[in-house]
Amino acid sequence: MDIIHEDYQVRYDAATATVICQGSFRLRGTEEYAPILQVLTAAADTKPATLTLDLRTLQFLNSSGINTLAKFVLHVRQYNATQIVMKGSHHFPWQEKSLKNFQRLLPGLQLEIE
Amino acid sequence: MPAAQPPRGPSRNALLVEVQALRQRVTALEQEKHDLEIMLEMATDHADDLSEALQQERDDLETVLELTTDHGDAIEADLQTQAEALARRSQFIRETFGRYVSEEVVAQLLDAPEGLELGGAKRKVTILMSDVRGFTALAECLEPQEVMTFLNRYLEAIVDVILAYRGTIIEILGDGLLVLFGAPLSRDDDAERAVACALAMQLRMDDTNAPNRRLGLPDVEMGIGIHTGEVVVGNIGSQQRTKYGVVGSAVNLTGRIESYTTGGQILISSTTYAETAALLTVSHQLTVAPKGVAAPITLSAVTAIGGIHSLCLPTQIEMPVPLPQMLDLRYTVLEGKFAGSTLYGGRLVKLATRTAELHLDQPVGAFSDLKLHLLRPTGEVVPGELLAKVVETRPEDAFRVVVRFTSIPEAAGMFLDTVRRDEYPVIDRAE
Repeated sequence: MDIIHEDYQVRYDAATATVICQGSFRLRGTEEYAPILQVLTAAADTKPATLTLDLRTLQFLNSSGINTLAKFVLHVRQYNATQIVMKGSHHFPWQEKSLKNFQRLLPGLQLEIE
Repeated sequence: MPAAQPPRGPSRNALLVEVQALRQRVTALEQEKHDLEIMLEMATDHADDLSEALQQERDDLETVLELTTDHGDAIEADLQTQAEALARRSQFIRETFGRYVSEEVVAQLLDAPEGLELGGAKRKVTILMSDVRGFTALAECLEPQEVMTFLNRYLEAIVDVILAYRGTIIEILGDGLLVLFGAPLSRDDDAERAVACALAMQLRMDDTNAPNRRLGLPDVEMGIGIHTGEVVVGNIGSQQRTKYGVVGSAVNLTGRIESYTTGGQILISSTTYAETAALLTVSHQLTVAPKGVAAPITLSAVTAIGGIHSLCLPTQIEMPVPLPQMLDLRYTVLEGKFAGSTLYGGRLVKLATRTAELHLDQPVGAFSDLKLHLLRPTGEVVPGELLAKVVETRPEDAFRVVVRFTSIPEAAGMFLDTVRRDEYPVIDRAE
């Protein structure tokens, strides 16, 4: 279920219901992001009470990447059963600006920027 | 009159049946209408639901689009900030190094900015210091504009050579140069390039002297000292004025080594020699004990380098020839750039083109710099002072030394020419 790539990694820790994204997501379009979206939706499909998305070590995310995360948030929203916690870092300026926008899709989404 | 006929048409019963049927029909229609109304209501409600869902989806898509666009803007802003920082850094590197290193080195620095420690770093470098012999004396007989023309012509030729060998020019002080090989970028062949550069610099001196000769000016010669050692390099200075500089005892030692050279000579320390020995031709080695250095050090006089550089100085061995009659002279010993106050007497006993053997009234140490005045046989002083470096002393006779002239003023040169032409043959032998 985990994706280990030279430039990026996506891991799901079932014990803590946390998806950890690391490195730089520079993939092109929906097709290339499909495996990542699959890891995210599969984690959501277990319908945990809280699902954490840890992006603190995600240095770069392109526009197709933010789109993929939006799709994931909408997927979780349909169940109306899971609280999403998104963790970000001040170290990467884009995270402060972009992550709070997910609350527009899911007002209950909890954001933790450190 | 016939009896009245009963009216024609359906019977009453039939009418009643028909009425009954019509009533049923009405009821059915009313039911149908009611059903249709319900169905319409249902369809409308369903359409409302669908429309609401579509609206939600549309809202979501709009939000995702905005989110994506905002994210794109955020990334663009970050990239812009990074690009500006990079541009500032590039500008800084160009301004700091552009005039003193080749364009190739600037490009390399820009390619690997993380490898560049501008703040100050201890590193092993090969240091080259050069100085023009007799420049001060030459400058005194030139107009200020001519001094600048000479200096610029000299520097233009020499700086070209240094950049070609990827040296970093740290300092230009008049006719003196301080050049590093190994900073800001170090390469395996730093020492080798430094020695090759020194040879190429010496070979270029002819280009500098040729126009001087046409103007009737004396030739100038350059001495070069090279040493390899650890130094601290980085930005030195205050906020108002910062430059890429170097500090360390290795720099001072290079200056000392350079001071032992005579014109046209290249002296290298044992550390530089250790890294380049296989490629070099060395004419001789000498042991010196500079001030501030604990033990005596061995220097090698380089005349050629092999390998890819393949450069060779023209060798000229001068054999001073005895003069039938000794020429009287007066001299003072230079300490640093200043002449000592005591005037001593002596005699010129052997003479070649640029070397001579002297008998002095007071012994002097090897590598001492002397300021000389020649006396005609009549006792009259020949105008102009000669500068000479003691290149050979004899343990058995401290009063007898071999000197190499580093500066011969015109009048003194003409006098020596007369001495040679009229009476004394001179042997110059090229090998």
